[in-house]
Amino acid sequence: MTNAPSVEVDGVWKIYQSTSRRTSLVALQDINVKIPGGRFVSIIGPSGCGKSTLLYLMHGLVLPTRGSVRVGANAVQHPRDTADLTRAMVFQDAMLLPWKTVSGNIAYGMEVGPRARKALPQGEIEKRVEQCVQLAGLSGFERYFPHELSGGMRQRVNLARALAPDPDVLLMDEPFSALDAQTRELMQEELLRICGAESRTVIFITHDLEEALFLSEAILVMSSRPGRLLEKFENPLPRSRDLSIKASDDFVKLKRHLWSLLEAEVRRTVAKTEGDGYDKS
Amino acid sequence: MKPSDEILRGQEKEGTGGGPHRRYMFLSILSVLLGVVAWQVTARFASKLFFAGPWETGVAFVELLRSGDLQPDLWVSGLEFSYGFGLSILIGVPVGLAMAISQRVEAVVDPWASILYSTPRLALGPIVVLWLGIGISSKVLLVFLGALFPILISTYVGAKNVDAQMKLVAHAFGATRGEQFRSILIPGALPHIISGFRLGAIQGILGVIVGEFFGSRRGVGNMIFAAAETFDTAKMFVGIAIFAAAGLVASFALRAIEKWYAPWRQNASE
Repeated sequence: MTNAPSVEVDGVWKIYQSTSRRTSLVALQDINVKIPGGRFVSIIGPSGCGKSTLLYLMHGLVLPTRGSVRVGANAVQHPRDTADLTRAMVFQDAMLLPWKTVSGNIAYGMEVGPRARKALPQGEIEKRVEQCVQLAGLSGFERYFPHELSGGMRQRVNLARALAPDPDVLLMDEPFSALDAQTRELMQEELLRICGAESRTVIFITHDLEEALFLSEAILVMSSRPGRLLEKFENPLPRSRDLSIKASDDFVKLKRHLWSLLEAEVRRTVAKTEGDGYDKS
Repeated sequence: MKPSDEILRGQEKEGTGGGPHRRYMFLSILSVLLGVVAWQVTARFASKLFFAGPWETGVAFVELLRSGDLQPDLWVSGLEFSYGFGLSILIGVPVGLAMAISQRVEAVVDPWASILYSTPRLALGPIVVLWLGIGISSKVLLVFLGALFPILISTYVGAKNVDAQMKLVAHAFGATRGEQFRSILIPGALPHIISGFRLGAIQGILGVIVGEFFGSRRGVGNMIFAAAETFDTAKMFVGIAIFAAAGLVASFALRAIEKWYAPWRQNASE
């Protein structure tokens, strides 16, 4: 049994009004989903379908036009206004502060915002940083600066930074898509190892069907814009898995099934972006 | 090592624009030494009335020090610069930051910044001395006016150019506006601010000279102008050398600070 909170999206719409064009853009259309606590769920969908918007809504960085988002029992507020912040976000780009070392960057999440005001005991921050350095495979690099690290290393720091405050809910926006394919494989394995041990609610956005199948327990499939939830797909693969599972028949079959759900949507997106020239991806 | 590195290795790899590379330091020193030699050679053939060589200048310098005549001038000019420069930092940095944060502040201050930039201090010199007299305050004002603009603008640009993504990170971790200011804006803008100091220092030194020209009792600039009237060419050269050295030291020191603080910046300032 896990203490990690569930994430509940209730009748959520996100509509952007464009003042100049007098048009409105429906990014998300009537999203209803309840993600039980402690699960690893991926969100897949074509480019521009609103996946990132949905993630930002779950974190409170963006407000829904209609409907509500809850984490646990509470409605989601901006992280700044959340007294007990148990969520953390991992972005697609590492976005590390170039003037801080690896350790400094990892500690950042605990030095600002509601967590800073929680006044942790003196050595606690250093302890957590050290734990996350180990966890993310960054031992020995504590005093390095971001510009001295490779892309993969920087993403590890990005991940460690999000893990350091020990969040119950981890929101990840295509964290591995900027990495080369080989590093990506390794990072997927690392992430499974890291998240497998704890019982966190993880919501993971990706374009990569294999990545989604490899990492998650359930997959949410979204349509092209306006983003709707097409299907909530339960992943039948055994929970303990390693990279070799990607070659198994079951895996290949599941991947083909996911693609059959997505293909029409992706083609629709490609056609649209070639057509109206209004691309909000 | 990427293949492109190998191609570039044949040609000079571009520097980062932060001044000459350390590897070529000896070339810089050699270049200066050659200049001094040329200086000395010229002195052999030029009239003593109009030209003093490095040796003669050096002798005059030592003599001025020994007689205690140089120190008050150095002190006065130093004071004028320090007060003026300090004031320009005290005002320029906060206002620059305010301009970057608030569009209203920017709208109010911006026209004055442009006015300041386009008014040559040479034109202001006489009137400032008329208002504030030949004491220190007129020079302080001229130093201040000279250093303010580069510092203000560099601060503004530095703050504005802080990567918007960094601010997103601050948001995601729930930083308040104050925390965002402290943890992202200031450290992010600092390299630019320091480069502004370097430019401001050079303009400030100019302010000292202009002020002392239009009316002063003491100061290194004053020493030069007085020496010109008595054709004490060696003394003039001492004064010039002091200003040149001051500019060099300020530039060098601030560039070093900038490089130490921000090694990640590929496109450093000019």
